Amino acid sequence: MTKDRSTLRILVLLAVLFVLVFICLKQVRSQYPGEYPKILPEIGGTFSFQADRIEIVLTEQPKSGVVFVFAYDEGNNFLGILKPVTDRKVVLGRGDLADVRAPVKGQEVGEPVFLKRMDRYAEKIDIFEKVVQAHDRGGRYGVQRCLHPVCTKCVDACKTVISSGDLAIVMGVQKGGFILPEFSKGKCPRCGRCFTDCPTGSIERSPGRQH
Amino acid sequence: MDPIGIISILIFFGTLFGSIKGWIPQRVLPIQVALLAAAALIGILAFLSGKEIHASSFVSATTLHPITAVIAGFIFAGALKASGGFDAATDFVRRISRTPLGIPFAVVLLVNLPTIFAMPCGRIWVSPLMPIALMLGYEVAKERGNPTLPALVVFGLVVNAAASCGPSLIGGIGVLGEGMGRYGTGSFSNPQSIAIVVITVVTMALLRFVFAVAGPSEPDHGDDLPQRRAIPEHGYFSFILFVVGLAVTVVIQPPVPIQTILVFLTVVVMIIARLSVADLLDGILLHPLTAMISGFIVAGALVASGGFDVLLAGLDYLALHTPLGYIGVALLLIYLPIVFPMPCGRIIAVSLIPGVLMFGERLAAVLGRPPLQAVLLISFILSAAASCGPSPIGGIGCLGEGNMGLKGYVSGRPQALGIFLGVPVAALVVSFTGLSQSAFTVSFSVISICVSVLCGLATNVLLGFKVYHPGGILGGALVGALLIVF
Amino acid sequence: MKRHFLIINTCGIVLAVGFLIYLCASALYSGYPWSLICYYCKKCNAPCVVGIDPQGFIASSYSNDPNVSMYVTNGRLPLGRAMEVDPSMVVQAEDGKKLSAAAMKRKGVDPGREVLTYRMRAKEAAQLCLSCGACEKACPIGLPISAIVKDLREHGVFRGK
Repeated sequence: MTKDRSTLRILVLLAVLFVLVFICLKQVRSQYPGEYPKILPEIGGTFSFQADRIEIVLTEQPKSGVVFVFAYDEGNNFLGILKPVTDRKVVLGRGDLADVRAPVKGQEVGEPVFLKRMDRYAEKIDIFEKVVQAHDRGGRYGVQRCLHPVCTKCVDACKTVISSGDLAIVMGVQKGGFILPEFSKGKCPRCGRCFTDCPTGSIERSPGRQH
Repeated sequence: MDPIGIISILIFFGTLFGSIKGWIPQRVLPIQVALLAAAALIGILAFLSGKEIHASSFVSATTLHPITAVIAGFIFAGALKASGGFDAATDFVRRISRTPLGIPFAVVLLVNLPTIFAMPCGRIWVSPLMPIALMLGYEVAKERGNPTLPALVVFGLVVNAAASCGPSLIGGIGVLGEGMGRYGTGSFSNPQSIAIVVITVVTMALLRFVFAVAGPSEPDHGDDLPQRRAIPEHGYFSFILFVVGLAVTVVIQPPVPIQTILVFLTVVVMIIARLSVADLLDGILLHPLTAMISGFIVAGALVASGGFDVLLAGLDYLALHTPLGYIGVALLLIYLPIVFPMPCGRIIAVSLIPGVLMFGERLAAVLGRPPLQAVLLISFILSAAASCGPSPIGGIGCLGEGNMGLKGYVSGRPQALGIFLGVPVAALVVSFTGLSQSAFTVSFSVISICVSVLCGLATNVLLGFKVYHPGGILGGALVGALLIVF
Repeated sequence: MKRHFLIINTCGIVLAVGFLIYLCASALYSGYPWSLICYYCKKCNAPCVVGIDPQGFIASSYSNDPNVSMYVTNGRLPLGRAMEVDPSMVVQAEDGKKLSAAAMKRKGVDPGREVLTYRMRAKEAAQLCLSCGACEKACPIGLPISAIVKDLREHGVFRGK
């Protein structure tokens, strides 16, 4: 009888432990009762090509006050320059040199190289010329509010929550050459960190609905 | 050019020069107070001329990292000394010197240890290793009958430690230059490490054959000779903890400040060896700390008054309007920290690196060779890093001179010449191998081992042994290998 | 050493040590005492596309002065805007020379023309910062530099005030 009682006690203890662990895990899961993120479509812009400048009128004033004006060269490298936006207008002049270059393979963006180094340029690439060339040959160019490959805050935020490496947000190259976050609903724990941390407003909260 | 900037630079250099030459006697106004007075004078002049001078101008120009690293290093040195760690280290090295590899092996390894495990300030290594260097130096002097040999070992260690903050990846001056110039992290370390090995052996050679500095024939330990008392076990423990702790920090580079690591190691030693806080005070040397602080205060005054801008404008003028040209002025710029050595190389480096970058870009454009900017920057950084060795105003050389009981700034010139001759090695290495963030490249590995072995051979000769003595050769090879690994 | 020199020199050394204590107190007062552990390694500088030297934010925080000058070598803004913000802001002319915004205007440069920045005050540099966090990622000891930038951008002063 004594043996049975002690076995019973052990089983009860295990059951209590199991329930406690179950409750705790449920608590952890319900730490993220937030919404899913919503990836906004890229900011639109009308390009006006002139002899020594390109004037771009955007559809809205970006939250960060800057945009990436980009163009792809023949080697499929993303070349970008960070430009301030004043009253929805951006001016790209002849002689404006690219700030960053990133190789693109398919839909994946490689490691970016910063071309401006304190007082010098590691490589001088006239982004005005590159945009004009892309326009002339029907290549990819445009403006984007998302600051990738410079900014990786959404992906980094996701990494702090999902340790397995199978992230809910990854960066991908879209059809028009824009680099935007891509979101997988099934993997998302709805922690809300990506749209909280995004400095440009490229990701917003989406209450229950997915873009 | 701003006249206030010109006057402030003249005041600064005048104070420095006057102190070095003895025109401002140290028994009247030590260099720290002289520099503070100069900073106050510059600040007042700038204020009277209408410039905005705030306390923040001085504070923002201060680099706290080497000061706190040195404080932490001194505290740990105090703990090492009180726990018998110095004695244990001396015993350990003495045993190595009695192996078939002999004294040359021990000397080569000892004098290059600060560069292998490079710290943000060389004083962190010099403090605990100085007694060992003295012991080795006097042993080899007794064996070889040459009273200049202790100075070789001591000042070989000193100049190596002084320059070691250049390649240090834990907030060294090299990393500062890499960051400001946007070069790959760690890419400046490899060429500097090799050049420092050369600087060390050249300095030792100059001390042996040219300057022949001879100290007292025997070290003055008083009653505290290591062999007169038993070395406690915790002495060995604390020394091993010191070496392993710093080596692991250099390899892993944890996201924990080096100061925290040193304080933690100090606490461990205090617990094991049952030390009190008072025991730690023995390791603290206030002179180099106050000299560094004064130097940073003066740097802040010069930044606020426009003194550094005037200096760079002056160099620009010399390059464009004198026969010196860009190459001559580039050489002047590289060796400027040696001409006016400060107790911490960062004092000049931080203010002048933007100018060096700008000048390097122009030099590269004029000569049509883009890598020249990196070459100029690395050479300048190494020169600045090493300049605290020969600095008579609280430099590491003063530690050696004090410990050896030498009068005057006798180690300044051999160190300065050694640095002068060794800095071009870094420039040559960069020119031939380019910049690489990894030391595990064929070119660097081959150069590192070959140069270190050659330096080992030279050390054999300098210490009075045969040139093919295995100690120097194996010591050199080990140093070369460790430079690759660490 | 004579007695009066002893007193003068001791006071001088005490002043030097006092300066260090003042620096620590200043960092504490600004609300960012962790700025004291900065390595000054400039690793944060390399990944900034705007050319900001984030160590300048650290220096301004332990000086407790948002007007400390720092490098911002790749910011772009119209000259007129630079004049509004700070006429003494150093900008880069087309020939590479560094001039103040006021000097550029005196040279007859159109206020609507975009200029590249070079040096400016920390509180203005915070406005140009993209908050991408690249500097924090690069910092070997993970200092939260963006905390300083956020306070400067939103309030114009440090947390301690």
